[in-house]
Amino acid sequence: MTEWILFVVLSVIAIGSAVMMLVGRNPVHCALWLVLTFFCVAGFFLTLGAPFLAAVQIIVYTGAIMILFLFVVMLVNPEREGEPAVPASHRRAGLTLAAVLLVVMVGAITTRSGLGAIPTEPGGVTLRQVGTALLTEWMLPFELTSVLLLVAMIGAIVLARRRIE
Amino acid sequence: MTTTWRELGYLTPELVVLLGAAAVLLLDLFLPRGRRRVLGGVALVPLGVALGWVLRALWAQSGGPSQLHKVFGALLLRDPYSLGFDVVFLVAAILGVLLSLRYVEREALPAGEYYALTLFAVFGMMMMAMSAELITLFISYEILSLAVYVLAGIARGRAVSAEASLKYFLLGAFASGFLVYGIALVYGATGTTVLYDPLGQSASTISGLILERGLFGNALLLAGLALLVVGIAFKAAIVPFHAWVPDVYEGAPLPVTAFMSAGVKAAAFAAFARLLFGGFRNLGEVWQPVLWVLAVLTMVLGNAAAIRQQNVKRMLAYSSIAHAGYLLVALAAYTARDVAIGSVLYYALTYTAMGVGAFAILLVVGQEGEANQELSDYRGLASRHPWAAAAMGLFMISLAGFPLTAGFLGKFYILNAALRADLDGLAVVLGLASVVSWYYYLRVVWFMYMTEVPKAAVRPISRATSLGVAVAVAALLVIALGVFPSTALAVAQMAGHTLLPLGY
Amino acid sequence: MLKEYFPILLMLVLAIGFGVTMIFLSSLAGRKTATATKTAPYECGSLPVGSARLRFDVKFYVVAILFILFDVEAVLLWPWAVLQAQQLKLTGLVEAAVFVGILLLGYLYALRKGALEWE
Repeated sequence: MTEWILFVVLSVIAIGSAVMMLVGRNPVHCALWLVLTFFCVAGFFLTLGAPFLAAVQIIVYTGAIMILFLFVVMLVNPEREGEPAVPASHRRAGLTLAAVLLVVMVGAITTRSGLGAIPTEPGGVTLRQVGTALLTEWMLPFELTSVLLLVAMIGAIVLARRRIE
Repeated sequence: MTTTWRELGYLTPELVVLLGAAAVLLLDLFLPRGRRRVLGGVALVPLGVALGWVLRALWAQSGGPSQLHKVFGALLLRDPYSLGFDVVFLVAAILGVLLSLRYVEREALPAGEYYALTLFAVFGMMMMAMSAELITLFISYEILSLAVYVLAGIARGRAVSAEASLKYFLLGAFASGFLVYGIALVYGATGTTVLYDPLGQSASTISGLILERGLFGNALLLAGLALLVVGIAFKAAIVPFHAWVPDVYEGAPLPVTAFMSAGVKAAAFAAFARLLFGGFRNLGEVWQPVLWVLAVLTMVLGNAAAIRQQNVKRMLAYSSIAHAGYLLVALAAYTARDVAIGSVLYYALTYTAMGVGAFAILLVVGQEGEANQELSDYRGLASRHPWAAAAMGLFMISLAGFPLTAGFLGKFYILNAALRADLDGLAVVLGLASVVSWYYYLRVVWFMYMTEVPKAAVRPISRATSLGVAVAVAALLVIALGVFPSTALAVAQMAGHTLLPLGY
Repeated sequence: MLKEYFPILLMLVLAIGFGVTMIFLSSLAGRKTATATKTAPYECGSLPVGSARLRFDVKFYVVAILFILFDVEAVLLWPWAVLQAQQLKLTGLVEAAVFVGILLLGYLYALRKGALEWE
């Protein structure tokens, strides 16, 4: 019962703040609404028994990525407070696409076939289990991730630094 | 440690390329600036070593039974299929580096980063071709993508290059989102991310579970598959996910365009075929019509747009979309999969040779830079520089698919697969599209051989050795693949057969 | 299972509640006299100069992105660290060493290229 209440409350806040982010005109405010959405997603992870993912969600998304978002907002348009309105035709196209996606997703989830296939841990997944999985079965993606991070690092520095040494 | 050294040994070419990238990066940090021109040469070493290893491994298996090893559980497959695509990536990269040697110096691009990122991109491609599991596939796809986004924008002085990089990055990030979303839905429907088990040891793979649980009409699974197709179609430059191609190919530095038009596309198709013929082989009736439509759209739109171009670089960009369409025809021929997969591999190699060759000539005529890319710059090239014109002519008629060229055989094998799969309509569209493409490819030849230009307007061309070597290698490959196709084709077919159903 | 998180929830409620109460109380009890000087934005006691919406320097962006990358690295090493502390195994150590080693290359690169210097 508690989980159900939590789910409803978190969903309302998450969807509400996501909508606020979309309709907001001030990019800084939009970013802050997104932070709220991210917090709710972390809450979802907790209720689903994935505390590690909840922590990652807060550390990486609300912590690091939102900082970058705000930096980029400040980097790109410091002067204009409000963005010009999106043309109605784009808005309609976006809404149509979103509606189609919603129908597909709801349809896919409500058929439920196969949904039970995902192996779930009754007591939630502990950090140890995550670590064991990462270091044994998923060792290769784990190491590949560090290559990916290295490439991202080089790329960011090449494209953003001022003069080439 | 479950993974033994022996298993790591199967990854030798990938590890050599990765270590090469690290070596280039380190050398760049500690070499004085004047000595950094050696980095291009350094980058060629791991590529050459890896190519040698791959060719030897393929050679050892041609004729005999093909060897298939699972590496890291079932995440990677070292099979002739991945080896065959490795050849394509490595040839594209070696030609790409040869094209870059003078270009990087001339345009004062950061050499260390340039070659290191090229090697990282190749590493990503090779891992992509080996991936038999969606998360590994995704991370490899991202390694490749990030490296190429940066390479496209590495000429920061030129605004078009920065624009190309940004466009590619934004749309590419969107495509990655589709791919991840697709992976999540497929996992939700099946509970696994492993595509298939070629040795038939485990049934808990996507292809096995589709059969076992009868997930043929499962909405979650189908939605996931659709998103996966979108994510990969973007990288393969398939219409309607091609919007980025002309701007990015035109804006990126020429050697990068050459490398990505061949390598990135081949990597996308390698993953595409593994995904469809491996993991989703039991849903062929579902995805085949989709590919049919995409193939027609891609061939028609790619050719229609290429006709209108006056700029040769842009023309080649649009025509590369058309070639993605030809490759799609082979993928759509899934009922004839015993020949279809091999024809994809053969065509990918052929396109690499003739496509990169054509871009190399652009560099020759552009004097190693981004100049003289208009059709009119090719006026009278034959009388001034017969060798350059002859090579360009060869690449053009091969791209157009004239008989006796590699391009013709490539198309012939794809047509063969399409007809065997009873895709007569698709085969007709392919034939008509090729005829249309003759117009814009032969127009270049016509400008080179049939027009003259006043003496005063004659511009010199580049005579750099590295460019000459690249053109010669590409031309020899085109001729060899066209005149003596049997060895390459046999290997391609053998490689293609690894994807055929043995087990789950 | 969720009971474990009750103290965290309690702390959140207390912290937010305390802040909100204080603001509410001060607005209730405080005297309000608005002058031009008082309503001006507070900038460390000195007079505010220009707009607060300044264009950020691109070097902030480089720092932010490097922060994200090392942040992700730390997050990925976290489960390893827990595991390693409880049952030390050589393979785990080797895997982490490879992971960190690759990123060390990136750190060295950033260092040598001056990406970490503030000019």
